[in-house]
Amino acid sequence: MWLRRAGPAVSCLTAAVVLSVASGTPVAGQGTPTYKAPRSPHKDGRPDLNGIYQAINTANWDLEDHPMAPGAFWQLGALGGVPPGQGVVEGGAIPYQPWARERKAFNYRNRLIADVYKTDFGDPELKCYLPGIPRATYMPYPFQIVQAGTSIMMTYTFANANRIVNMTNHRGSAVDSWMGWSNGRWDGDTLVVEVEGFNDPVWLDRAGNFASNRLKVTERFTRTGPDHLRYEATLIDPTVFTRPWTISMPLYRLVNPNGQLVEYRCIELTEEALYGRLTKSPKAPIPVEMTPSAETTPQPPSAGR
Amino acid sequence: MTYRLPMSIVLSVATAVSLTAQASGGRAKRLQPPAALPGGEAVKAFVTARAAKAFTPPKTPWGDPDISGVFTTKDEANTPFERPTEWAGRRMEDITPKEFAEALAARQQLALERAPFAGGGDDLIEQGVAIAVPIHWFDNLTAKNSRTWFVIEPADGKIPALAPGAASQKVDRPGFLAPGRDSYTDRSTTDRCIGGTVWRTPTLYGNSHDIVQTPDHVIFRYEAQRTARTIRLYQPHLSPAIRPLLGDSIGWWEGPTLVVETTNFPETVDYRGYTMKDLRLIERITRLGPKTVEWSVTFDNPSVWSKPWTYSYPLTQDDTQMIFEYACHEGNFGLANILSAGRTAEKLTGDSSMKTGK
Repeated sequence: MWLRRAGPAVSCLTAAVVLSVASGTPVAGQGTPTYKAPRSPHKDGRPDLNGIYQAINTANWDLEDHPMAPGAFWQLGALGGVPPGQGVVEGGAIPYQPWARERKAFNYRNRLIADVYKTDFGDPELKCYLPGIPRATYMPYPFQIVQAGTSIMMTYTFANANRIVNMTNHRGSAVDSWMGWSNGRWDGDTLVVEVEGFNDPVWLDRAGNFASNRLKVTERFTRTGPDHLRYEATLIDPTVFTRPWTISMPLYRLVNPNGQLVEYRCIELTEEALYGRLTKSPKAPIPVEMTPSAETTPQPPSAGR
Repeated sequence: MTYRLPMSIVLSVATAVSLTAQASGGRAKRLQPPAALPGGEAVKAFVTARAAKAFTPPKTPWGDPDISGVFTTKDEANTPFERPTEWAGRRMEDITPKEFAEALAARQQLALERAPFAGGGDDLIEQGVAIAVPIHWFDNLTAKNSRTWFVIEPADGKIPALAPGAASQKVDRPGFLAPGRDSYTDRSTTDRCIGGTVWRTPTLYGNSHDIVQTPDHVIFRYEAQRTARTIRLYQPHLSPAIRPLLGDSIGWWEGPTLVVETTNFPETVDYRGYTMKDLRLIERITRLGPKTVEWSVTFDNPSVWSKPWTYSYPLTQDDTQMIFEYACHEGNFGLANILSAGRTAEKLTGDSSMKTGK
């Protein structure tokens, strides 16, 4: 039933995208939709998406419009602050169900909790956990697309995250995972990737925006110029949202000749936060902001499914 | 001979950057590959002798050898790394099929006997202490090895003697089942999920690999420790100031073989008790047949070993062995539990160290 309600919304959205492309409306900073990308060296007639790209926005701080905000620790001043930024959610706001809006606020209040045993608490980024999809795309670090005919590899700077997009031999995910399971196909010159099979919960940014393990993401990668991709991701999750919703943003190619990914293997940076309290001599008392609260996690009405 | 040169000269030759030139495939070549590197002759002889007869290696659409695919090494687990003592004085090709079949049966029997002590080493076996491990560790104990042993150079199948100054390179880090539980730094890099090296040997699990190619990059991915290596073709190395755990890998093609040179290892990467900060690792990846790609690994580290040495084993192409996500750090209850048990032991007995005996 939920999906039936979702149907027209998806169609409208698709129609809107098609119309804006058909009418030749340029997307700001992304060249014109008539751009014809060079073809893949695999000689399969597909556009060549190979390259290192990066989002240049504040989506990793908050997907929605947001003002400047102080960081959790005043001692860090502007180093720890939240930069203001325009949102990337089409229509402006994420369509949460009422319980999920509470959960988002809960996530934010408890975002600094790094406790292995409390899997419901804390931003995975703080813990150097795999960032999931779509978040991996718009973290403030470059990622690389390596395109072959039957599979497309995406490797990310943060936490050595990587995933393979199966272009043939599609199958469902065997187990839930942090990065999900990606099956891809071509829609004209657009790479469409369907991702599902996520762990619960999936964090979308530092503001506590999230989805559940019923999340299904449909990503669209389109070259809009020699050095730009348009990235769109539609999120469907009947446990958390009232309807499908979409984020979109340009991705920029690293054009410097030596530009390359440098691994950010961040685990060691998180060990004191995660395990310090369990060591013989913790480096320092845990700040109150990072101390687990007794709060219970808001649950969906159908919890216990 | 090359290894006798000071490391700085070797590296500066290897990373000599020529003016950007366009190769026939259209790729930007910013590196003139060095002429001859350690391990080259031994590997060439080894793979030539083992390449499938009447086999024409496939090419990518732009003309490079095609080494791509999904691979497993699950059937190479249990293979001795160096030449076993009972075969002292003999070459790989001297071992008869009958001898090899008997050795394989013995390896499988030993693997089955040791299964309850997986990862525990001889100490635990002597003490009769079994440890709890995931059930999939037992999936493939009867691996059907294809090799007698792995070290192909020097010809005696043994890792060569240490270099005179090797003692200065020695590191003392906690191993698996080390007793310390005061801090996470008392635990092995495996316990902390920061293990993972670019060189590997087949083991009980995590044997899947995949390789994806473009004209400019080869991505070589291992399931174990979530390792995705980006090998940049015909590009110079990173500055020595940047030292990733996986080092910095560049590559080029020599005939049918992808040659990969990896440097810039951090001081914290160690192997066999020595830091690998001065290591130049040279890998050669060659397709031997429709289902087999050989992975040959040469250690060139004059600070530690008196001469370079090489080991080699096959990757078997198998689309059913696709890589699953290796999320070790995400929810590392094991490390938290070890430390937590240490605090409890401290409270009860005044001693936090781990006992593995009866």
